[in-house]
Amino acid sequence: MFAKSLGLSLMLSELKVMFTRRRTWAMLFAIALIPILLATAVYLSADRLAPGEGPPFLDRVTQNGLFTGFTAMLLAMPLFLPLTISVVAGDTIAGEAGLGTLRYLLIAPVGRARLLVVKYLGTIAFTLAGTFTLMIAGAIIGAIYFPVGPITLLSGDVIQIPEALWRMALVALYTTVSMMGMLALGLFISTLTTIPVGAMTGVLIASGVSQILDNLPQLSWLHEWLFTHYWLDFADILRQPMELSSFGSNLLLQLGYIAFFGALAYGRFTSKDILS
Amino acid sequence: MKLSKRWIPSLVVPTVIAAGAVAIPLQASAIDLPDVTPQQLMLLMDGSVTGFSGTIVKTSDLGLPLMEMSSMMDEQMVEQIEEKMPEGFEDFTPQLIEQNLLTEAVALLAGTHKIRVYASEVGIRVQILDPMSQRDLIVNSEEFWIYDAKKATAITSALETQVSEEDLATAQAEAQAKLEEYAAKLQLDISSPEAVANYLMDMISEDTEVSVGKDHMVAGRTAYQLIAQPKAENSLIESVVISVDSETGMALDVSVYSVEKESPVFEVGFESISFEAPSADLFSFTPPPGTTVNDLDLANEYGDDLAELEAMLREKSQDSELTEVEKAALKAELEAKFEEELGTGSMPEVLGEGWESVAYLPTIPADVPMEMLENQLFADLLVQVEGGKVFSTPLMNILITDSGEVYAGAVTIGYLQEVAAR
Repeated sequence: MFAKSLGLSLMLSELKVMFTRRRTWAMLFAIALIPILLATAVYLSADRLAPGEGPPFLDRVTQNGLFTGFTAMLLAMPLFLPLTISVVAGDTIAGEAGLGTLRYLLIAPVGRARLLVVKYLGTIAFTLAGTFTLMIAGAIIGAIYFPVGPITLLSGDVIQIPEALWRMALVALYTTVSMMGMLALGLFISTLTTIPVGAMTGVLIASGVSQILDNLPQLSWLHEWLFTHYWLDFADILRQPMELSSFGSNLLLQLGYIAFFGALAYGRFTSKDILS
Repeated sequence: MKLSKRWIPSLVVPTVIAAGAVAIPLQASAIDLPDVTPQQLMLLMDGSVTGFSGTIVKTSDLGLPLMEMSSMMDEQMVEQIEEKMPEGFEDFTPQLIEQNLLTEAVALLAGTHKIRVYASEVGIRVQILDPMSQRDLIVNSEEFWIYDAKKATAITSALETQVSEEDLATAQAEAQAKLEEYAAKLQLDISSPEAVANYLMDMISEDTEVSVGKDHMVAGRTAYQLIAQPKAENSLIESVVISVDSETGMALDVSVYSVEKESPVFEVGFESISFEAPSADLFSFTPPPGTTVNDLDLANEYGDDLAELEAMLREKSQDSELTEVEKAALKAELEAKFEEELGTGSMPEVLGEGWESVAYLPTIPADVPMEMLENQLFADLLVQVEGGKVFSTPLMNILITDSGEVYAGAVTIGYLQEVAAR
């Protein structure tokens, strides 16, 4: 009972620290800038894209402002979202160690395993905040610049605005789940070092390498094991009926990564001497 | 130093994952169904499935280049790249391949596609799940639609289905009579499905070895394997393996093996399937706003042609009686006109039969974009041989002779040359 409430209070204090940091808000603001810049650029550019021209979804933005969120997610997925998230994931343990606060954190009667879980859940909370910020900022800026109406799905079916908002939330959830494996990797790397920047870079490089490997047809046997493999499949939510198989495979894959790197992080963090 | 106990999970987790990755596919092949003969299996396949929905995955390993790369470019982009390219680097400007039905067919054939299929008595809907896009085919009793989400275009046409019951009954009776006549000629008892299966088996066995393979799981269902192996020695096809659902008799997977490769070069199979009839609203389609709709209106076009022909005939018949020669000339003229319109003029001639059939064309068809042949990716696939060039894939060889004749077939290059030399 006591331990349980302690875990909860630790979680709350972790969230409080994270969301009172100026850095967190700056990163959320930067994420919000993606759809804002995208919509502004499309709005100001004189020539309208014909359907099928340019990157996927871009031509749809002018027809329906609600599409801005989806298009922005597509653009942010390969680099920008992993970048901000690797900052948070790499910071988890290494950040505390770097600041010299890890020692004091462990003086409290909290198991190291529990601290790891709390730190990990904290990064998931930030990812959720990030993906929802992107979708919401996209919907708002799109509604300001462009007409808003029922959304055309990839299968040609049209859905009403409430249903469209529901699907936007699902896309945000899907991308959050997609990031969970990378967050676990970040947590593990973060236990290896006391230099947060090192951990952040490590995570970002891993996501880059994984995406490159995913594009090499010679390595097709490896593809379904890469944590970035299903990242762009959030488009399956925009089909009618919704294609849930990619979500299922993605969840299974991410859980595998969580188990693998979670176990490694546990092994490392609970057995090492904390010197800082 | 003794390794801390705390590292145990780090060893257990990968072991569990690896064990799962190995055991799950193994489990799929560890089933045992009652033994059947190929004939019985063919009878099983006769079963009728009225409604299902499933996801099909198509993979091919034909060595064809992926066409999606060039389709991401448009003329403007290529021009821009050409301008910016420094001298001496012209080779690096991307080549634009004109998109037409042929290139789309190649694109569809090469690579991997995920396709959802819904079928019931109301209609059928096929969805090709492209990344970030989708192509839909919807067919119901009144019309069909082809919708392309990327280009926001739709093609539609009304379907003529107003067949009176009387016509249907006479047609059925006629077909039945013909079948019986045919059966009498073959001394075959068509009321016994076994006899029919045996007869078909005999026919097939002339040039194909048919056997039943290992029981296995496909799309979560137990399935038999029907294996067909060509007896012809010049065939490129090693075998065709059909997985048949043990309950409904539906084909769940078709794999084609080439003599040149160990893994299937072409495979179409269900990844998941459900035999519940999908909801009826999947089979109706209204193009979303902003779609360019192209109404083919087949019936009207046909009607126009017919009216024109009738007018021509009337005009001619007014010139008193036609002589036999004139009639023949008129017939030839009409046939030529029809051939031109229907494009049957470029239909290939088939030489040989069975697994060794070779398609022959006197010239390269005009709708093959020549840029495609010049494209480096394709040029790599062209092999210089005696008397011409061969476009070679594990399943098919196409010989283009120096005189421009085209021979194609699922046969070895040597056999194609032999046929061309005749």
